[in-house]
This record gives sequence, structure tokens and C-alpha cells, in this order.
Amino acid sequence: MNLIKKNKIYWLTNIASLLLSVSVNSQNNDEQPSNYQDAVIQDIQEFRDFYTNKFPNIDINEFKDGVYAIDEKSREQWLEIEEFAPYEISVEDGEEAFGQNFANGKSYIDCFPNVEDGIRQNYPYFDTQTNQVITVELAINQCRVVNGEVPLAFGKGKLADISGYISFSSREKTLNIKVPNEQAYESYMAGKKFFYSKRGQLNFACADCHLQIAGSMLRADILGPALGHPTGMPVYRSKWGELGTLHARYAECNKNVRAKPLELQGESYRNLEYFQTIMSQGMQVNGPSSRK
Amino acid sequence: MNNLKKNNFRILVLILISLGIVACQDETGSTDKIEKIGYVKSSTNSIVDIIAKAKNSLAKAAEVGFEWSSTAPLIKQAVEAENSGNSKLALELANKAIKESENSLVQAKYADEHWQDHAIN
Repeated sequence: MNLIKKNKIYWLTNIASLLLSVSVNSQNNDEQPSNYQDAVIQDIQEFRDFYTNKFPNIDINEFKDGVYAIDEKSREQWLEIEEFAPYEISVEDGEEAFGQNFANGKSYIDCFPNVEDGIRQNYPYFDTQTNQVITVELAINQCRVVNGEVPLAFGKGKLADISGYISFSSREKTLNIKVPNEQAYESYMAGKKFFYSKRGQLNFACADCHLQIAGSMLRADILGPALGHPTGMPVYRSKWGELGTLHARYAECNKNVRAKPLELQGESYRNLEYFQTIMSQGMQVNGPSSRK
Repeated sequence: MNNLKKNNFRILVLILISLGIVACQDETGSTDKIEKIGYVKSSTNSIVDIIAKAKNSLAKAAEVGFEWSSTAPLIKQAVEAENSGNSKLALELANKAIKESENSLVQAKYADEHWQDHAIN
């Protein structure tokens, strides 16, 4: 008899738990965005909320200055460096290269006719014809190849200089990245997955350093927030002694956690850039920038 | 008395079956052991084969984009050790490389299944 009672109680408890879980799940589903556009908007809001809660005294628009938005002493030093910005020569070289004709008589201006009005704020974009994310750097090399020129190295050097000039011409424009269709959303989600996936022998995700413990010390350096990272690209890093692209920085981060870097301008890094730039939607372009 | 005999017989049968299973496992060879635990002890495997296995494991990790930067140098060092006649060191390094590749594949699988657990949204 006792056994029957115990069994009844057991099953009643199980059914009650099941009903409760369905109820909770249905409540959660109600909170889910109805489509991918809403999902992206919700992601942007929650991403920003995370940083504004973590750094309540920092204005959201200040995050474009990276680590210098959150550490006053570092900011003072940085502002002094910016008075004689170390990337100036690179920008000038980039402008000169941009204006030079290709062997066929055309130039970059044929590929980027609106460069002087600012174009960086629209990159990366999702190309609905080829179903892939197009970054500024990829577009520069596509322009070269279409005009019969040899593509440039993606990390540092001449291409980074041209990218620097494009960013400089786009300063103060606000990032306006679109997710035009479901395929674009898949690329966005692939980038998001990359951002939160732990990699390398040290088992770190981008999010571990630049989200969860952003602002903490890592040896002698302060970890910069991921929000606003793409606004200042390409970046002049003192340790590089030259301008480098966002993908060069991704590769460096991967190396730091002892993961083998992926191909620069490969699909994975482009998707990551797409996700990260969308998270900084509406922030001002202020590249190129200088960092330690 | 009959029951006791039956029990003894059952125990004997069980022991024989157990021994049979253990024997079969040993006959599966060292290649299967590499697949499961990644560490090769058997002297029947040549160092060249083990290094090849390490390279193969590394290729699998690279294919999913989770190769560790520390693994390829281990294989390179293993090859160098083998070329200089230090087979013991070569075996040790190659096994370490295999283990690293397996761990990176575990990491990739975990990321695939659990990345959203670490996301804020």
C-alpha cells in the first residue's frame, strides 16, 4: 500500500514538474524575438546594457575609444600621443596609394567613388549577390583584382594604410550595418558563435577577455571592452610600429590564447567582424586609432 | 550440494567469459587505442606511424578551426628527435601532440554544443 502511495506521489511530482517546465518554457518563448531583425536589435541592446551596467560612469558613445574610455590614466597618456598621432604618415601613404592609377588607367576611386564623403561606416556589409560578408579590406583587394592588380597582404602594410585613409575620411560617421536577409543573419550568428567560443590551449573566448573581464588587468595591460572595438580600425599598435587591420588583431588575440590564427579575411574572421560591428551599431567611426 | 556445484560452475563460466573479453580487447591492436585514448605505448607501432597519426589528428583539429598553436611545433620537434635518433623523446612528443589535437577537438565539440551557455544573450 505504502509502495503504491509512494509511486503516486512520485508520478504526481513528475507531472507537476513537467507542467511547470512547459509553462516556464512557454513564458521564455514569449520573450523571444519574433524574427531575426528583432533578435539582432535585442542582441545590440543587451550587449550595450552589459557594458553600461559594468561601467555605469562611462557614456555609451565613449566606448569608441576602447580601453581609454574606461581608464583615466591611460586616457591621459593616449591623448598626448594623439597630438602627434603615430598613424598620420600611414594615412598619408594610404591616400597617395588610393589616388594612384592601376596599370589599366583606373584607380580605387572607380571602386569607391564616395570615399571622401565617408564609406567606412557601411562596412562590413552583407553582399546578397555572393552571400558573404564584405569588409573594407576585402573590397580593396577585390578592386585590385578586378583591375588586374596583385592583391595586397591583409594584415599590415600598404593595404592597412589604404584602409586607414578610408577610415580617416569616414571619421564621425556613425556605423550603419544592415542584416538584409536570413543568410546575413546566419553569418551574423556564425560571428556571434565565434565570439563566445573558447579556443586555444588556454581555453579563452573573445568574450572572456573583452566582455566578462573587460577592464581587468592582464599582466601590465587593461583589457579593452569589445563594444566599440571596430570603430577605431585599422589600429597603430606601438608594439607593431605600424598600422594593422582588425583581422591582424584577431590573429594576435588567437595567438595569445595559443590558438592557431585563422586565415585573414577568411569567412570566420569576416563573420566575427560583422557581428562585432553590428554590436557597435550607431557609434562613430574614429579610425585609425593608436593603442599600446 | 547440487546448488553449490551449480554456483561454482556459474562462477567458472563467468570468469572464463571475463578472461575472453579481456583477451579480445588486447587483440584489437594499438591503432584502436590511439583512437580512444590517444596515447601510444606499444612498441609494435613505428615512430613514423605515430608521427603520421599526430599529423592526421592535427589536420582534423585544423579542419574545424580549433588547432592549437602549440601542437605543430611538438610534431616538428618529434620529427627532429626521431631524425637525431632519440626515439624515446620522439614518441613522447608525438603522443603529446596527439593528446593536444584530441583536446582541441573536444574543445570544438564543446563550443559547438555550449557556446550559447557563455553568451549574455
